[in-house]
Amino acid sequence: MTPQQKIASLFLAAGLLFLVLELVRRRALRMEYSWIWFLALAVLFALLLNYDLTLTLTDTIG
Amino acid sequence: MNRILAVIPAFNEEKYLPGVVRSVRRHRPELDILVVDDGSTDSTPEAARQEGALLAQHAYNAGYGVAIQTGLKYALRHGYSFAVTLDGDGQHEPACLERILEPCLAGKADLVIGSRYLEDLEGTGRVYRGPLLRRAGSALFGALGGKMTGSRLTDPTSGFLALNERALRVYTADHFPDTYPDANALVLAHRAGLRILERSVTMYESPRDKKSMHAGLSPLGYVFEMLLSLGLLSLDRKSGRKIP
Repeated sequence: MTPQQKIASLFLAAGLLFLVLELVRRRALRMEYSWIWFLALAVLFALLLNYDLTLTLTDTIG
Repeated sequence: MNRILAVIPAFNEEKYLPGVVRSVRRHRPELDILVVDDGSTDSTPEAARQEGALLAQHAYNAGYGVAIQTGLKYALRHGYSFAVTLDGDGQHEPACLERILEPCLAGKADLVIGSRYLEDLEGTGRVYRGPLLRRAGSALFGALGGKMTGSRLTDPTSGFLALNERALRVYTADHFPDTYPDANALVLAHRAGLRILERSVTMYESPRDKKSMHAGLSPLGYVFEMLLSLGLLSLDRKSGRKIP
């Protein structure tokens, strides 16, 4: 992954995080169900910050 | 004359509710008592009727926060000047109603929290200890809530409250947290300009044969939601500034 790709992906993930927070704040997304979105975003950030992990995961899945 | 409503949210409390209603009546006979049946599957509604309490019923189990709001909305709509909330399982000692009501009635506070962790002012030796995790949770959210309200909060999870009409309006607002109205609710109350006070009260352990609303994985959900709620409130400093 090139640095440009990484930065763009991180911006996208940060945008998604902001969107989820805003939806919770506006009560469009109930707080009790929001954890799954935060969990998904945590996984997304982990994969973006550690590209080897992404490669390992894709190798494992095939 | 001030009309005061005692709101008792109850979910499957047929065993303990009659004792609570009788005890409230014994200590404060002038109070009207409203039981909010939160979709019980046992005979809680019948127990409330038999004790002569007013009854509001949810069609399904909507949760503690919603049950509290239902009771407080009833108080507002029926012209009560004050309300107190206490649990239906007998955890809250009705003898302490006087202690939390007095500052409201005297106009010294809008919202009074009955704290189980404050010093035992009467020297009864009955200072609540409770499970370590609960104390840790109360300390954490008390510290966070205290920082956001600029006051000392020893028991932000207490459901033993006294409210005047201003506080009733804040607690029944649409933006009010209806899942777990604890430290986040106190922050909103503070932002709405309510004068908040804590008073030492006696609380007992939850009955052993009762399934706690914080059983299983729900403590994790509680911590997550409370941290998220407080985080969002700290990001959105305008939230809750107007009293409806």
